[in-house]
Amino acid sequence: MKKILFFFLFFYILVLVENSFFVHFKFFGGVANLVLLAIILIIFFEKPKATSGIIIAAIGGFYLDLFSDFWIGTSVFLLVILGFLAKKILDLFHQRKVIHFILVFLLIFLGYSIGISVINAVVKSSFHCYLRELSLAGVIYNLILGLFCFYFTKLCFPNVLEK
Amino acid sequence: MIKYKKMDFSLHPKNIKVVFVLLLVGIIVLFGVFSKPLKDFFYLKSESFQKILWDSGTKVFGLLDPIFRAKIISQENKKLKEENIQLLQQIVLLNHLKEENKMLREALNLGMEKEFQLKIADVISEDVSRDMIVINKGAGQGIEKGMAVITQEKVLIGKIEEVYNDFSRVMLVSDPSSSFPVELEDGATGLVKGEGNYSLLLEKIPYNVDVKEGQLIITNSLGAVFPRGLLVGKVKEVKKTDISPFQKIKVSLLFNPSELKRVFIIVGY
Repeated sequence: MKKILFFFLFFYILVLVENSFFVHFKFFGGVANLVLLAIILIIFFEKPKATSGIIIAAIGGFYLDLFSDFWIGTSVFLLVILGFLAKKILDLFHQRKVIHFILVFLLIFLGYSIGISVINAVVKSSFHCYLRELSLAGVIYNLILGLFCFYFTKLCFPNVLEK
Repeated sequence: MIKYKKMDFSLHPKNIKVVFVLLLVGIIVLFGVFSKPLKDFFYLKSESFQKILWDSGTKVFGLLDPIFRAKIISQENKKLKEENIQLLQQIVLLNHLKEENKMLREALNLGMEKEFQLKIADVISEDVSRDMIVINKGAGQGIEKGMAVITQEKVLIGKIEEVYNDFSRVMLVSDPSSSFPVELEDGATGLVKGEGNYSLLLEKIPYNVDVKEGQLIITNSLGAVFPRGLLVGKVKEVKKTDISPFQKIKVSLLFNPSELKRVFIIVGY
């Protein structure tokens, strides 16, 4: 329960920092999606049998919806499914290396971006691609940030990847 | 005597999953229904913190931006100096015309030009998923959906897309859902469409109309979307092809969304 409460507060601060501070620092139009990056990192680094990553993904999704024009529940639904899929994929590997991180990153990041665009297209009857993350610059920008966090976590917690 | 069968409320493990999914769907629908007041509540509680973050972001960006864009800034500076000379010449001409206009107005007894009724608002955040910003004025302050939002230089930023009690979401002119009629300085009319990522495209300008880079684009009253005469952008690139009867014109914005701090909402005109 304490963990859940902590993540409710953590994602709240993160989404505010993302929308009001990091939004100024764009890379060829790409914006840092800190909430999504945090979810990817948590799911990747948590113990294989742990399921709290899915609940944390739902909390992150709740804040993503809250501070955007999406219907609350859209990102929650998408991230729960993607988090579950990512965990299933991670179960297939005996080790967790950087290549596996990139795979999980691409699955969640692109899956979320495409999912949101499709939902938007259906709900708003418009086939515009809304998400900037779908741009190559956005993917590269967030991947670089993700890799930085990946190595930083490995450096600070060397045993984190041991099963 | 009637005998009732005892009901079994115990759940099979498989049913627990179904109950969990139904519960999740229920929560989502419930949040969806209360979406607006919930968003309004969170925006209200985070406003001061977001304002601090937004201002800090603008300051840090302002400090770092010249380092990364030194070469571009140098080129822009050169171009601006040239433009400045041209503008000074135009000011002289305009001052002369202003005098003439004043005299004509007095002579024709036209009276004062109708001013806009404005409301001032602070920008508190930007929606990372779309070309949208959030301002700290909403329905409680008389803001309504569709109202135009401008800068102090009367540059059109966008229009109110969603109104909460104390906040509003402004759809920038560059959002893919934005499209409205405009006119060029010489009177040619067209349609400006948002392309996302702060890009604009000017459409429906016939092939034979002479459009030059740097030409200003203003709103017109067709379609009654915005009041006439608001600055929209500047022609950046003109492309003509033999296939299309219309030109493809790229337009640059006259404001930087990351540097916006305060905006004006036109509540009446």
